[in-house]
Amino acid sequence: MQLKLYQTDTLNVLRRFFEETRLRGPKAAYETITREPEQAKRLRGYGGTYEALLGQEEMPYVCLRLPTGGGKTLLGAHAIGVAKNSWIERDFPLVLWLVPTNMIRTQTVDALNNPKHPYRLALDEQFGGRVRVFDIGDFTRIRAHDLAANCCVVVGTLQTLRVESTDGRKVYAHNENLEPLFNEVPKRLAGLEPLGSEIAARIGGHADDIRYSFANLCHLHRPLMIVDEAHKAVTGLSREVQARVNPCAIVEFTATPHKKSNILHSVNAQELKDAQMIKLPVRLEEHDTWEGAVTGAILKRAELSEEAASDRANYIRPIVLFQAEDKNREVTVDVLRQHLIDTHHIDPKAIAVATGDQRELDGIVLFKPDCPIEYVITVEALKEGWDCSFAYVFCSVANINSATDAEQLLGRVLRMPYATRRKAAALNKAYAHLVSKSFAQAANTLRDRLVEMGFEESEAEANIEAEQGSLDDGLWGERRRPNPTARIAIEAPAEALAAVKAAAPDKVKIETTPGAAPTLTVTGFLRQSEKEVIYAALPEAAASIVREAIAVHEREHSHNASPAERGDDFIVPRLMTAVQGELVFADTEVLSEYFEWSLSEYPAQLSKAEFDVRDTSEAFEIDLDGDHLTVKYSDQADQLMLDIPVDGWTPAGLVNILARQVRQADSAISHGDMIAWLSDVVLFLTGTRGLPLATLMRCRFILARKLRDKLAAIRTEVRKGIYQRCLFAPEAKPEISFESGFRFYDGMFAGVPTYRGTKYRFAKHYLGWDRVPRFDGKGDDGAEGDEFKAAQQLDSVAEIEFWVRNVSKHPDAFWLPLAGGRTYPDFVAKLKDGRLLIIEYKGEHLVADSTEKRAIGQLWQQSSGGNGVYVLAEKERDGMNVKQQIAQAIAL
Amino acid sequence: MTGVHEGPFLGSHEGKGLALLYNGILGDKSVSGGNVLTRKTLGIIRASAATFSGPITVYGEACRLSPETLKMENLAFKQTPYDVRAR
Repeated sequence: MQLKLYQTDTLNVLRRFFEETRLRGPKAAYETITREPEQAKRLRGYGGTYEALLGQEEMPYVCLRLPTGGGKTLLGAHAIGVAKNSWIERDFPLVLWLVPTNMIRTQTVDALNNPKHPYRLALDEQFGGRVRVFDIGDFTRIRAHDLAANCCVVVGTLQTLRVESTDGRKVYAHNENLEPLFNEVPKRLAGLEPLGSEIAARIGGHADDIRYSFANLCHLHRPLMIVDEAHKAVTGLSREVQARVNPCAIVEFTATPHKKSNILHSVNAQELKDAQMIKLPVRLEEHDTWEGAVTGAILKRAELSEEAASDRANYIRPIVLFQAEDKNREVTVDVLRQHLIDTHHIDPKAIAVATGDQRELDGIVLFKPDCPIEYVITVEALKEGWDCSFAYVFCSVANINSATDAEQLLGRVLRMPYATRRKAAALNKAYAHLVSKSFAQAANTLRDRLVEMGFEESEAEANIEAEQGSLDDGLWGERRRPNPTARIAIEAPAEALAAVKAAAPDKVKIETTPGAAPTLTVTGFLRQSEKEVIYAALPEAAASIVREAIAVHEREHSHNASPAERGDDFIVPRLMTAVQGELVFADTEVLSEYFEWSLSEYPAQLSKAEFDVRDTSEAFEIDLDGDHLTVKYSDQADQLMLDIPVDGWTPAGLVNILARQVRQADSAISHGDMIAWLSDVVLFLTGTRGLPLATLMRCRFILARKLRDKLAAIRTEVRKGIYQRCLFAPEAKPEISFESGFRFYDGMFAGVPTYRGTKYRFAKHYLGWDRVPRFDGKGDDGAEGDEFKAAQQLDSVAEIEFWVRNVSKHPDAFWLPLAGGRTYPDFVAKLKDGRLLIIEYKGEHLVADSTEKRAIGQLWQQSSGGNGVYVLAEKERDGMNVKQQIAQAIAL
Repeated sequence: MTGVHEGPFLGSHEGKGLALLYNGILGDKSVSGGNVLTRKTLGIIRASAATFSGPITVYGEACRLSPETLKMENLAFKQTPYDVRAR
């Protein structure tokens, strides 16, 4: 399965962490990485200080945070390969995979044993199919050759490691079946648990002899511990368990990390949304009674079903997920089911009950078009793996505050069908119908549920929408503009009214009461294009009434409308350049597509400074770009390439091993080129440098790491060359294009956490003063930081018509190309004279990377023919504050 | 597999296309041959796929197109020999 961008990013951070750890230990590695500005920004306050687990300073322990639906298990499978190459340095590591419950344990074993399952495919790919998966209860099935020539994954729960539990006792007990696995191990070994006198007496051995227990087996092989969604598990691991199992590293995957978990990387909901993994926002409606909630859910499903029918891309049948109350309460599964049948006349065949004892979903494929199920009733969490993305509407008839497992069920309606965004906006959202006295209460509960699923609090708030009208002012303690409404009574046929509603479903509501004219309610402001569709849909007389009423509404409230709502144009030209006679986006990735290059043009000689190995009696000492590390003999003695005898080691064999390890995920280098280049690398090392092949073989993981870095450096050089040549060389032809420009629009940053508006009301923000994406810096919305202060000064520049806070990495945000990616300036503004202004605000410690940004910004300005101005503003420069720096830049 | 095509596009099955890049499809136009997916070889695939407009899986030795371009062009790239599994 193709990994999503955020998944690759996550694994890359993990790899870097292990590589750094190899040189400097986990603490320094963790602290270096999490204090880098980009990563610190991402972690927003987490990270920074490493805490060793139970005093084990040498054993890396980190946590990767992914919201529910982010593919934790798949990443777990990939993390094994990453750890193998960059930390464990054995071809076939032992993995102890811990999950939170026995149900998930069974499912994980099943999935990992299914050769067609993406999890297993991921493992097979990394180990050439040499993978064995065991349930921890079946550890006696592990054979010596499994451990020697396969990656063995043993799946268990924390409970199974507890000495007090039944399973735990087995894990630590002497078991004669395991004897063959201890053949090579001396009878006595420090660190391993001995038999003890009682067992020794029973089986006839010495009390100090080692036990043949699974725990001792682990201790010997130092397993990699993958911990899925169980921060309680790791922090609850006793020192005793730790010492007995003796993991070589712990990597935790969770949605809701513990502060002490050493959070290395955090994926936010926006990234999942951009990767089209989840439906967002969640549209919420609260109901006084459970009957009301049920009716609301059923109507919503009908509406979505209609949308789905007209969307022919891929089959969707929206499903409502009902959460009924427990048996001793009012609205049980049976009551709810009967209510659906009697009151709403729903065909019993369309309803499936999924509880502990009624498993009507087992064996049913909900994705099939001939499946009749439209409603699923459950009480508790649905089993893991029930991730039917057709579930769109979540309806809880219980009082939401007391309902358990609600976040798990809510998570079920967030998955995006086919991981592909739909044309109809309604199908990209999820829906919740809850019983609650007030909207605020329901929204607060929903927010808490989303946070429990791994959303950041402000992210959760930004992704809850009200089904009726807009969110109340100050629901989350933020300030909101009043959203004016206009009510217009009109006579028009039903289909015309439906078309009117469809033109702007979020802003227009139609109410029909028998005996009176239908009422059209417009909330907020309509875009010109929306208005045109509405006028065209209505009969002449009705259209002119609406036109008039909307004109009045706009006149009365226009002072409240943001420039975006008024429909003011805001287009920022894009930097383009000519390449081979074609005008293309100036984006290094795109430009690179036009140039041929071959690895054979780059040197394959590793110098002594880059890579050197000395063979001492106990270890290989390696110099790596000025750093030193060792590979101990003992680390690999038991696993020395068992399938290739030492006298069979050949340069070609090493080349093949290296080729597999340095293979580039993006397939940019062909196998032929890679083999040729690596052959030169090996030839130089064994020939000119005189390093023995056996030594290289033993240090192959470190050599591979060095070569990966070298390849990355070569590719950076290639990209830099192309970037310079296409944009900055004398013959380069950069220009800007308004036609391909970045068009800003109302709602473009919906779902992005916003500044709460409590400290200062911005007068000129394009999207409105209540829709300013949050700032970087101190405070949960950045209002305590320098960037916020810079924005205040920007807001007061008289020449500026309006400006917008640009959101880094957002698909609609403005960016400029860099050799190694893109830069997203902090602010984009339009001046009253029509010119466009790009502002990069440079924090204190970001001096290093600003040269390249300034160069590209200035190129954009020069290419703009006087239409654009670029400023790299500093907190203070030559005695000028941000406002003065801007004024200087825009002065004509 | 339906349809017989000239050039690197091999045909389609259930709406999914398949293309194989090989040396020689560019004639003498390139030193490194035609087994690398580039703008140029993509053009040749498109020409040989004629009216087919669905997603295409391309097998080749290397790929120069960015992930974004691959997505935009509705392509999946498989690198030989790594991504070819005999199972």
